[in-house]
Amino acid sequence: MASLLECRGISRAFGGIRAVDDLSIAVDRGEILGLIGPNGAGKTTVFNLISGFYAPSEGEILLEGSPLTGLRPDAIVRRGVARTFQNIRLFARQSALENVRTPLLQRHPRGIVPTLLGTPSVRREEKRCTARAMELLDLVGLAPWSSAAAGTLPYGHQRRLELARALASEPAVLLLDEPAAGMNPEETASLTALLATIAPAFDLTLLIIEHHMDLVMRFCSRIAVLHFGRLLAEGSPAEIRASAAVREAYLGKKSC
Amino acid sequence: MLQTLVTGLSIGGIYALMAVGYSLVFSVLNFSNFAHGAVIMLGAYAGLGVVRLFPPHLALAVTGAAVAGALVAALNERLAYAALRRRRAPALYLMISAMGCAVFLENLVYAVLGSRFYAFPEMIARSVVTLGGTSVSLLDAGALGFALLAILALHLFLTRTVTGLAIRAGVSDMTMCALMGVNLDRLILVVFLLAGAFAGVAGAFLGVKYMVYPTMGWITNKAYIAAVIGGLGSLPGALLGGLLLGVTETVVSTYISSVLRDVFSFAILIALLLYLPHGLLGREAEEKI
Amino acid sequence: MGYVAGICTLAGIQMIAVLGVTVFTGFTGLFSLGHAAFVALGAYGAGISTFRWHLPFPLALGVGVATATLASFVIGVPALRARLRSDYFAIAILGFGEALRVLLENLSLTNGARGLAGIPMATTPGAVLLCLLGSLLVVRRFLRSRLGSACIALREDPIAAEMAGVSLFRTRLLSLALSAALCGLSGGLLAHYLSFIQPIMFTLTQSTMLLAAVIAGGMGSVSGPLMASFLFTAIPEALRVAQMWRLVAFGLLLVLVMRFRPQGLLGFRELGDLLPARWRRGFLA
Repeated sequence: MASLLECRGISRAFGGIRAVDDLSIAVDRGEILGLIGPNGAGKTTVFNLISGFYAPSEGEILLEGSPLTGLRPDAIVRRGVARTFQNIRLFARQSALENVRTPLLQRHPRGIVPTLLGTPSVRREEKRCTARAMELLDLVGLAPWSSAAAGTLPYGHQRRLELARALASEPAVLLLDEPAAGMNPEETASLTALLATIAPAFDLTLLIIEHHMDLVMRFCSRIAVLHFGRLLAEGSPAEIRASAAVREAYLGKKSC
Repeated sequence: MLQTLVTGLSIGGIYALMAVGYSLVFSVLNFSNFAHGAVIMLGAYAGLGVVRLFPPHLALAVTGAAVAGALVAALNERLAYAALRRRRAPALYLMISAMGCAVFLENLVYAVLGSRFYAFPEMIARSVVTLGGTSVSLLDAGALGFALLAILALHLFLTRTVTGLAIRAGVSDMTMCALMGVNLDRLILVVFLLAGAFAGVAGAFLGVKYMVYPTMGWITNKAYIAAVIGGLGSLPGALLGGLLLGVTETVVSTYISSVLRDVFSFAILIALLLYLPHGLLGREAEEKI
Repeated sequence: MGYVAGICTLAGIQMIAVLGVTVFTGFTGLFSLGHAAFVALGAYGAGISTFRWHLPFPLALGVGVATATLASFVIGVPALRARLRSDYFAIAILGFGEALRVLLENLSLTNGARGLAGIPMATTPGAVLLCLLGSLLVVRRFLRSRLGSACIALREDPIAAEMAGVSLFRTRLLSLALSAALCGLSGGLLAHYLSFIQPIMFTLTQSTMLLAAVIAGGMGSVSGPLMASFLFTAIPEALRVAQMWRLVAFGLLLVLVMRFRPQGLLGFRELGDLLPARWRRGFLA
């Protein structure tokens, strides 16, 4: 079975540092792949390569067999790959609703002239997007804050808003960059539960970068460990937990 | 042809002086200081003022202009930009402020001193030096020579002194610099003093070569184009870009049409943006995502 | 035309151009020092159409708008591409303004530096009002649609915007084209109001005044810059302040606003937001 998303031998250097070094991973449809590794291991760089913000110096990235490398980020989003960011990037001065509405509007574009004229079909589409945006906000539990400026929301809400915005792009693959960063155990559990309902409901394939090991071990079907830009190990949570190499490099000498 | 080349190089030297100041600020602070033109203009006026008060001597005019330029640039930074930088305001805000400064200064001079065009007195003999069949005015030769020397001196400063090293470190990473204990405010002040001095000198040369008037700052557009040609943020690039622009403009002016010179500069810019956007020596700075 | 009516007409013409710069700088977050060039193109395009080719006024205005819009692609395509920072565009449009001025001063079509005189005075207060209202409707529609949404996203965070499916280049280009069209319309109306245009009337100074209105009025607002624009036109006229002192004041205003109140008068809000909630209907609601 051909994988949904595949990275073949990708590399990327910044100055003298090889952030990603000859990395090959593949994700199958419906999988939840966890990407772990120490800070600086190149995890976010992999996401940046997949989503098109950097181009790999070697290798290629394929979605359903067709190459993503060389496309601009917005084209990649249209192909079906969305992401959230390690440092939250919201449209701070826009309302929560508007944040989610923006990608929805981009999803179903009508031509420029009809849009400028405001034809009935365009207006209908805009209303649909507003309604759908409310649905997504409701899904992540942010409906009461729909008109609040995104920058004024508490941290946890901002993370959820980012998630709702990413879902609004109707992706097949969702890249989550440290979705639980800065969250306490309850919030993390709540987020995990949310993701557990969303993934099958939206028929999503997830790639998650995380440091919260409980989330990773319990939620992910497979884990890939990065170390200095290289793939150190790959396998089920149990296999990774048992791997001595991983333990030494990342998890520490004590067993977990 | 050689004559054209030589003439082109001399105006190119002036462009290079203008471009270097702009590129220096750009490379360290990552914003386009569009008030640069006003500093050039004020430098020219200061040079003029100096030769009115003291015996007319080119060196005196240039020094006066350099000092004035440095002061204006430093004031500019302290009054207009420092507060914005501390607030981490987006580059857009800095550019707008810069534009405001430029308009303010230009029109202040216009309102106070009038729109009259002033000429420098004869300070340097209009004598001409002949080199291998071409004739160069002493002024042009001087301007080019000075430009090359000044830029070389800047290069040495940046590579051999402690402050220079700190500036180059700041180019890579301002925050790191601050964490390492460098006094950021003082460093930035030095950068502006240098950039202002270069601008002032360029203004003086322009004033001597042509004339002094309130809107002479607009010629700085050429400096920006030169900086883009050489690669935004690169100092050797600014030198190269300035010289190239000067030569190309003179060639066009002589062989095609002197009127279309500015149109041609714009066309070069567009062609560059289409095919070689980072200029000849520029590097692409990437934002951390 | 009465004195007051004259000022209002002039203010209205200026407001249309400010609306253009509002779209480009206030809502898309891009810096331009050269929109006066588009006003010039609109003025000359429309002026030549009536003066030399005797086209009817509305058609002439259309020619002005088309000229300005097409020209915006000349700079926009090279300078707004994704990997280039906005400084390149700022420099490019400065160069464009200069190059345009040289061309205008040297083509016989435009009568050179002497300027084009004898343009029919077809601009009535009514015409200006009509154009202003029309422009407002277009801008309102634009901002509420996916196009405006994309522009605002770009202003807030270009990287997140791309992640939301916004095409950086196409959006910037479209924003520029719309702003150029509006400036072109303003120029055409101006030409037929003053009956005389000269290249020197469309310089960096004029561009700065347009920008000043948007900044002082507030980025992210439509009513703010419109109010500022009206004040900037009406007050100096009323006080008979000399042109150069006006500009000293504008320059200083820009610096002070950026330093002390970067959001201007009504940054990211509309006049309607100041009304009690019951009557409130945001421009973008």
